[in-house]
Amino acid sequence: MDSINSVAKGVFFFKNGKSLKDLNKKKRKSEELVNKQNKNQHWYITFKDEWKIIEQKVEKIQSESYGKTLNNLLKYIQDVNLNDPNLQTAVLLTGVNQTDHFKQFDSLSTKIYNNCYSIVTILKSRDCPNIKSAIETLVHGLIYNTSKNNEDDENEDESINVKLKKKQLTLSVLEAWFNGNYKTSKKKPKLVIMLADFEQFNPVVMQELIGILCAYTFRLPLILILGIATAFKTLHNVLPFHITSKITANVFQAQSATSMLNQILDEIILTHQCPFFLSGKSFNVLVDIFLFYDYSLHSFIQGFKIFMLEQFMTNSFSSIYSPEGKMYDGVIDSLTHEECENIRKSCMSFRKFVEEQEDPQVRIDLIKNDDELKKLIIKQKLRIYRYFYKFFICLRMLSILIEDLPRNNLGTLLRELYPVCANEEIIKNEDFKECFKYLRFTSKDQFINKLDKVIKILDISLTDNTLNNLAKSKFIKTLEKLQSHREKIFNAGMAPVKVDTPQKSVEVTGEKAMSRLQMMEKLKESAMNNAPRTVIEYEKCLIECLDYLHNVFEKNLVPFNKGPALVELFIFSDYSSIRRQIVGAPRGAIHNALSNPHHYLQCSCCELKDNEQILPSMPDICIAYKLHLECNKFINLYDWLQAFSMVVDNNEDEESIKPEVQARFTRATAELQFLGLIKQAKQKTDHVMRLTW
Amino acid sequence: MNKINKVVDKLINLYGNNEPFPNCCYLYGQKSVGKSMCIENFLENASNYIESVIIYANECYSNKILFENIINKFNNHELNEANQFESFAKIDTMEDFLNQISMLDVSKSYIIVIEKAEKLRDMDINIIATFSKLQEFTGLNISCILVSHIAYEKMSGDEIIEIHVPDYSKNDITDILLNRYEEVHEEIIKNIKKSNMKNEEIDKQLEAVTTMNEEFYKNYLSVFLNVFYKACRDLKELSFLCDKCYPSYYNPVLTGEIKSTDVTNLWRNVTKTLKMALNTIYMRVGNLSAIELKSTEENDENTFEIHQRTNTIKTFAQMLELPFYAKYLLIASFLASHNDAKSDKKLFMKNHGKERKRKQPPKVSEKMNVQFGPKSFTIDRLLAIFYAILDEKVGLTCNLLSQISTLVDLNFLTFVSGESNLMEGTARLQSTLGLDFVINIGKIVGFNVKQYLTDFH
Repeated sequence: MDSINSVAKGVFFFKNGKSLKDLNKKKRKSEELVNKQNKNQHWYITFKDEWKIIEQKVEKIQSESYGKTLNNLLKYIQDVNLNDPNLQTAVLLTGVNQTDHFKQFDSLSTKIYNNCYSIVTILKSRDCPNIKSAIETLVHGLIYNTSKNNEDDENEDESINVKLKKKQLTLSVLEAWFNGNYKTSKKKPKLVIMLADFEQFNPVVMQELIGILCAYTFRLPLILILGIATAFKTLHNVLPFHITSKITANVFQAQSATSMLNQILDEIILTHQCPFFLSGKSFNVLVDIFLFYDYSLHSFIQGFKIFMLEQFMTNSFSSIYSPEGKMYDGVIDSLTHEECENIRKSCMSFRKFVEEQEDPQVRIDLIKNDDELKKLIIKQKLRIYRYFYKFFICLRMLSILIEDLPRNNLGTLLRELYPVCANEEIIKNEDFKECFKYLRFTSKDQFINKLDKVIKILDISLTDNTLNNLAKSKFIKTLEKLQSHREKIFNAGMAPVKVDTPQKSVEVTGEKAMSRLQMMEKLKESAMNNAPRTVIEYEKCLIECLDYLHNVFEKNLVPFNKGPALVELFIFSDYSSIRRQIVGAPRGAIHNALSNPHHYLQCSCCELKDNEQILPSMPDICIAYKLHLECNKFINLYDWLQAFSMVVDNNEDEESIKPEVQARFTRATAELQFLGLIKQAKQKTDHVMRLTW
Repeated sequence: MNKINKVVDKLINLYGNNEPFPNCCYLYGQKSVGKSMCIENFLENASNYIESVIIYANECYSNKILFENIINKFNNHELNEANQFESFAKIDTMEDFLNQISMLDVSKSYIIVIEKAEKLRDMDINIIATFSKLQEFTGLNISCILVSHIAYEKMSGDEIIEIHVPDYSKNDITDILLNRYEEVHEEIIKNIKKSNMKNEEIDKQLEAVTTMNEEFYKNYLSVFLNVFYKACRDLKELSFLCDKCYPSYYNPVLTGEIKSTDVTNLWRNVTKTLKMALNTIYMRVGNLSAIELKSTEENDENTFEIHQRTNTIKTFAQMLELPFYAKYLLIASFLASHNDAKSDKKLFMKNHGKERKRKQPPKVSEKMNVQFGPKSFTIDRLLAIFYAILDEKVGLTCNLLSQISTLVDLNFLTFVSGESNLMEGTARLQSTLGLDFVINIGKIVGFNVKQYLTDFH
């Protein structure tokens, strides 16, 4: 507890055991609170650098993917026909990941402002409980141009000098202001109104607003942008015909959140250049939160950031894993003896590595001598880098090979394949075997097509300059082999080729006690074996090629637990502790705190031997809570009080309860009620009702 | 067109120069039959002796706006920076308004036109009454024209001069649309010139355009109206659709595939577009390439008519991008809304004990629970059903609970009561979804919804 140094006054959260680390994490979020000693620590600097790179990449992908929709939208705004009597409306289908929306619209408004000559305002549903306030916010937004970038206005006179009263903010004032400022100028700006959360608007307000705006389309260059989260149909559910007949809707579909996630995963996280790697399970935790709960990219990326932070902090070696790792080499030298011991203990692969060494002296050196270990780390670093490099290339190759197979249980996306490959040997996987079986039936064109794609991937990955030639040479070989296979398959005709199979004569008459069925089977088998097997030439080449690919996957798609020694240093697998932090479970936490206060308080007096125990030293609310757990739906207050007094006071006497105990009890129940655990029962007097189970 | 002229004549007769005006006049007719146009024509004709103002009643969410706009106009007061965008006078009540009106020049005549007059009913009770008797209150030669699409009986019981603007007949509509022939063709020529084709190509197309004479356009209109006149009489909607479908009629002529005189082939060529447009009528989609249209295009044409309703729901369900648990929450909410709480035990628990056989009373009504409106349920029940229908074990986390509020935001769930005290557990929710939609959602996640509805047992 004495290890907090913070300027903030407030409640701090201590987790059992490693309080300092968790505290650090909490503080990291706000830069000012970072401990000074941490700020200069090596891992933190590295973390910051690496995070910056990732953040930039994510932003780039996001802006690119919004880009297409955005460009269409901008183009539409630019050449929209304002002579149309209808209100020009752009409907932007954004998808339901609402947490991300306002950010998107903010950046959209900046883009529109910068690229088209226009004034933009964003209308939020919370500002528009009725039509009056909606219009006022709207007019205020347009006149004062609240969409931030005011400073780069060249013509200062554009911004209004008059301070308008709130009452005055009406559309006729807007019109007057617009005419006053722009009547003489050749190019008139467009007035763009954005409604980011269309669903949350009151439908009546929405109808009135559009009705009024329609009346002004002749006089003002208005454009409406509606952000709809669900589907275009919603527009017609909310607006009746006499309103929709006044607008011309143009639909723009934003990229779906899942495809965006796939892109981010493929290009940033699941590459060998990522500064650390998630174990299969921790990867699944993150992706599942996204797919099952919220579809929010923002929270996904934040979750990833926390994982990364934890990894860098608990494991300062991760900082040496980076493409340009040279500048961080100093870290290894500065390892203390304790840290070395820690590595020895925690890395399973290290143990295996030591056991594999034949020279006993080397073994002893590795275990006893820290310098030897450090040397090993430096040596392994490159190997590990190569290992991941190969791993991800093969992962991509595999994904392409099986992407269009029928009945594919493996999944085709990288995010589906990755956890499988990271956890187990893929070639032993039943689904994988199934897939390879299906691959044998692919047609020639199809297979060549696939092979071309695979070759292309290899080609691209070979251009990566961060690797030395040693790592590449193997893949160059693979590439050449694949190309020759392709050549062969391409030239292979459909002519049958005989395949020699060892002739096996099956003794049919051997055993007498054979049922008819068995006999038939045997005969069939022998017939199959004896007939000269003919295979089409193409098929033969195909099988050869597949065998080769199988071989490549076997060599390179090695699961993490069988990877090179010390690979654990760069893999994050402690997902269970982090999971609790990125997925809040309020009820669970409250229950935990109230039934076992020791968990948070860390005091010596409240240590519980078993969960049912109730100690008088516990806080009153905990005692009351634990007692109420034993009750049914309705709790008699008097009985409860008696039980309470028995615990607190050790008072067996039913009649006399000290007033102070009663006061404490009353307070505890009031607190429980405040937490939403109980409430007064209306049906029975002197009873309360439990609300949780 | 002469219909409009007739109405304008009527108005001019009513409001002649140097004549006392009637107190008030009510102009009514269906939507988009040219009421506003009549008014505009009339005011233009009479502008030399009448001061007028046009007010849109829907814009006047407060009386103040209504009053001040009228007064500003009659006093030729313009809002600008010099007067700090202040109105001519501050008018909050009807009394102030009448005082201001009385101060106007007595020698002039005034007309106040109130469009969308049906909105006046929602405003203060004295407004219609006062506006229909302004002369008596002010002593000016002032009158009020109320323009609306509903019959006057629904507005007020008082006597009033009514002028009816009749609906357009099919011929009227053809004439009106035909009037735009020149305009439309200029647009086509402009577009061809703008396009980045080779010069010869452009010349060829321009030549083709010349063959598209007025007769050609008239043919198109008759084809178009044959399809649409039954479905829609709204001129605005028709002209919108007419413009939208025209390109697919004339495009084969431009490319030279069909001659401009070959009416049968042209008709055959355009039917598909018209059919599609008929399905999206009133949708107001500007860019035809929109996703919705694409998805309907893919459907088989013959079965399209029959499956149209379910199909659109299906595509809606498929297009909806929802997290996995949110989908289950949707299903759970639907089940909670359309099953009795009593039957929960039977539906969702594996060992719900033996059902005691009772003599079933004869069914009183054949109506099913799903056909009744959704019933409300508590969050606890929603979560209990959610956990019962979900095979996996998931923790009750913040993320899950926030999904509920997201669904409320998206209007899939609505609060019936207790919105403010969520914590207490008394809040009641309601599902707003239809059966078809939920069944489709269930199909996506592999869940048989009907199995858990008491109606289908």
